[in-house]
Amino acid sequence: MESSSDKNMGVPDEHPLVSFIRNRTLHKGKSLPDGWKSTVFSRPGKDSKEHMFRALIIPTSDIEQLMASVETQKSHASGKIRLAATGGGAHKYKDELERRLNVQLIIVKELEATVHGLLVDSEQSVETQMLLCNVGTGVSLATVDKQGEVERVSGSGIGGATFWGLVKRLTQFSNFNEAIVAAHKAGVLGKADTLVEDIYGRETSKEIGLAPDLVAGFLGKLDSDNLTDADISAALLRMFASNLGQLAVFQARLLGVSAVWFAGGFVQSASSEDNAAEIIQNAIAEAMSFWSAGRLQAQFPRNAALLGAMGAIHVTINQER
Amino acid sequence: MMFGSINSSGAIIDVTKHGEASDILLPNQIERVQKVAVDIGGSLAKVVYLTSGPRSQGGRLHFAAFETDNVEKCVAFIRTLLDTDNTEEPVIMATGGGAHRFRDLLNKELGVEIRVEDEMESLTAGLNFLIREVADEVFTYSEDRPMQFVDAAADMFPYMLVNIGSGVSILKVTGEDEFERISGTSLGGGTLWGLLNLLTGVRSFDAMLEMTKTGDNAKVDMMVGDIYGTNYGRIGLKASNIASSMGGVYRKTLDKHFDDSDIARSLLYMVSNNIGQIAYLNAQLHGIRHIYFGGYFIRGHPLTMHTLSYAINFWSKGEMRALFLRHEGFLGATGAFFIGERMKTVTPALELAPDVTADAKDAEPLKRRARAYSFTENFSIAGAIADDAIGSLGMLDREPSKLEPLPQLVNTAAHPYTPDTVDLTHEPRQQEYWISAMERNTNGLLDLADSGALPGCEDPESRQRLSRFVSLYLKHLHRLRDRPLAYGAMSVRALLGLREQCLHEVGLEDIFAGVKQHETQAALDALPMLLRETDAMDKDKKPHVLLQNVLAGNMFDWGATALRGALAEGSLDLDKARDQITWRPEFDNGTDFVKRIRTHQYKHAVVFVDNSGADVCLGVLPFVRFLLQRGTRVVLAANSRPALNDVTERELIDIVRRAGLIDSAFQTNLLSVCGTGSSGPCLDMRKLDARLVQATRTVDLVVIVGMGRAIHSNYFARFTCDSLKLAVFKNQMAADAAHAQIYDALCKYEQR
Repeated sequence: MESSSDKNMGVPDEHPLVSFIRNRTLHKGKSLPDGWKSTVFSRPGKDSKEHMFRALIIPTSDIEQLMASVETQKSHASGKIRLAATGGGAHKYKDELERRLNVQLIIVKELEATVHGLLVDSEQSVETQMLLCNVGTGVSLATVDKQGEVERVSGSGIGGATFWGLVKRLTQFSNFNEAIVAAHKAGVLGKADTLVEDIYGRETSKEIGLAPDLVAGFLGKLDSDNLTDADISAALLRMFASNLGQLAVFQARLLGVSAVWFAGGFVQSASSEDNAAEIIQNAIAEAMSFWSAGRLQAQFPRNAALLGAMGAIHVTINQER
Repeated sequence: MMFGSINSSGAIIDVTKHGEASDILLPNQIERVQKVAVDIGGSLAKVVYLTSGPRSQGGRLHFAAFETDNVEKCVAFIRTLLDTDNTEEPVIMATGGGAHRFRDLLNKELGVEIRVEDEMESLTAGLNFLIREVADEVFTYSEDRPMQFVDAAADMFPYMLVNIGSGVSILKVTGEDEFERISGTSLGGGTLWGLLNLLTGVRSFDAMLEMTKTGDNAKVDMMVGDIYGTNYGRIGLKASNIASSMGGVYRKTLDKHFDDSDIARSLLYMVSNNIGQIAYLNAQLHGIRHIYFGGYFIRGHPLTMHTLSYAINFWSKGEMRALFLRHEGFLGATGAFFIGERMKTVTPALELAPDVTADAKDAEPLKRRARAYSFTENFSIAGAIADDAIGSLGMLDREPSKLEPLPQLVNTAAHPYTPDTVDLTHEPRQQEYWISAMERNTNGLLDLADSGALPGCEDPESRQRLSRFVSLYLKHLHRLRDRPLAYGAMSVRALLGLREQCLHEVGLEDIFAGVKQHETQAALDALPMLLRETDAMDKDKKPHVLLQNVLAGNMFDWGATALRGALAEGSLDLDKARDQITWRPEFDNGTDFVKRIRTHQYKHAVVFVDNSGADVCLGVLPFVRFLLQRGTRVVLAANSRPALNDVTERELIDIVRRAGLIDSAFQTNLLSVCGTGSSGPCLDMRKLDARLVQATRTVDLVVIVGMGRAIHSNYFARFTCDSLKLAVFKNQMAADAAHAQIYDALCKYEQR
């Protein structure tokens, strides 16, 4: 949730927070605490110079650890720097961060930051019409106009937390990625759903020209005895992705937009040790393709987890100018 | 899949279920079953069948529902229908997913041909029929304003049908037989059932819906307020909005305690909201404003309808509205029934009514047959699709002819016509008054019969029928007290209409027949003298007196308790009756009419008459004679079937014949009698017998007589020609509603 550009590089009395991030992103493979990740990449800026991003990704629960480390190195030489921030936690930790780290938080609204982050990450200008589906706890569908103004055009309460809430209630999986990976590896699609053949019978389905294994009602056979947790997770994922794809396709058609991007915590699952993100992205891509009859494709940003932070910096810098 | 236990046997007829007068209510006891259609869905099997018999000569459509898991019950029911030895055509129309699956079973068990119809085609055919023919079929719903009935027939197409069963199908309907499936979602009723079954252990869909009533979704959902603390106004989210359905259950920090009912409500919201949103997106993409929701999922459940309405309203910013149907659940079966009618080449069960509108005769292709007649809903035997369903269903009685609006009736967007002066739905005080009044009147009926005041009703058989009627009608009134919207919008017209339906249903065609005969005889005896008196009058005075006598005659009314005493004495003193009436300028501009006819001759008048006896004989006939003598053609429009002591078409023909023997002025081809098509004391000017409509095409004066037709209904009716409304406020509540006094005259002349 925090990030810094290389703007301050080379300044001798560097702010300790900047040093902290630089030190941990300088060398690839430098050992980091569990769950921490770092990455460095560059994107062209408005002045067509390459801007370098140094990103350190830490679990929100480790924020105390970060504050404690930076606090001790507090340098009196550097002044107060401004810290672009976004996300629900930005409000929550504002006072503490400002007090302990000698920074001034500039809070950018989450959706605005994410959309602008996507533009930076995907090297697009606001001229390109696009729809962003931000899939976090819930779902937000947003567009940006030519003035850079972000609008939440739609949304849904069937979001990542719904999926996880249901998985948690209906299965024994202890974490999100485990449920996703198991769904992919061991889940049998259709076992938990009411299929066309369950209604019409297999032969009649064919007679009347409907695919027997087409889903008529998602989760309609959750009462079957032979369901495994993986089957349930697979059914939930397909339902969730299908609904997401449908909303996105219809909204894109309404807006006349052909670029549909997906981002947010659900799409970019927290850990990269497994291929959970890829599984989710494939499910969404399939749904998009289904609902648009192949005319629209789901697109996924390269640095999905960093869009908010990148956008926050972008918006803050633009405001300065 | 098992979806829940719905009133499983026999279904929809909950009157029968509650043990009420079931001996008279068995559908196929006397009535002959003519045709059966069945829609076997994933959860319910719905049966629509047509009977004809003494109580419904034109034919009557019945509706029944069974659980699909109990399909044997449904088959057994259909077998009893077919066993009534007279079923004309052993073909059963079938639709729905199960129609295919159970075709062989039905065929084997019933030994009849099963003709399977396309599901979507059946749905739209059924919906088109219901929108067009059934009064108060379509309604909007919200918690603040439950069941606002909508007249959707005028501007039907295009519309969208969102049919929610196990999954959801979205159809776009652009014309009578023009539709396409534009979209759908598999996140539907089956999803809700599957999730709730596993999460709560409850298996019955009914019980699941019941749970939602007490649940609090905020305990399991992540609300906007949980994330942002306060309102997140800038993006249009309120703190009470759902950020994520079921998203709160695993957040320890939220520390929410919840139970099954909270989950049930959350998931109902989730599924309904999502369907509403997808429906909105489709409607927006196709430029459609009218969205009908149907299917097993809804079944009149208030919370579901509220959520769907809310979603459509929210996403469309109030531009679109969600529409619901009282007969939802029966769209497919009804449609399959009528598709079967269209296909017939010989003796359709519902024949084309004698078509007097010649212009339509050739233009109507064979497949349009199903619309060539009209239906009236009969609530004397009513049921509901589910125990907590907000609306009830009656049977649909086929009218002997097509019902059409009076050609001169104004019914436009700027001046919409409503037959009811007061919508009792929104007038609790009047509602209570009228229900109580009906109860008192009904309770007094047996005493009245015992006192010999109802000649012809003294025999034990009639006496028994009368007591059946009393218990049946009181039961309906009781239900309407609890649920005023159960049978559509409540009005005096509806209450009086239901009364007649109940009387007819128990086999009491006309309890006032004897009374009417007696009164008419007395009135005709007095007619010659009255005619001599008025003829002797001053030329300027005569029209005034004739007009006032119409109102004086209307004072003699068994329908008005206040006058019953005088009538019982056999007193027919018009002058005395006239003296009881107060003439106030707010309600009486009769002089304008008299002035007008001094210089203007009406070419053709229609007179909607009221009571038999003094009313029609001594009030209306002399006035009509005056018009005839001036060369005006007159159509007398009387009820087609008996209601209270109103004169019927048949009786009026006899009265006119006898009047002709008294005075030759009545023996003219300028005068004719025609039935209105109605069988109630009030009148809906949109639903008149096509023959009457044909006979009134050139009418330039509309005259409406009596409280039922000119005050309770049509008080605000506008016509494209001149009109005269003549009645007396004989009822305190009706007078109060119009800010009049009791026995004030209504003599309202409106010139166009």
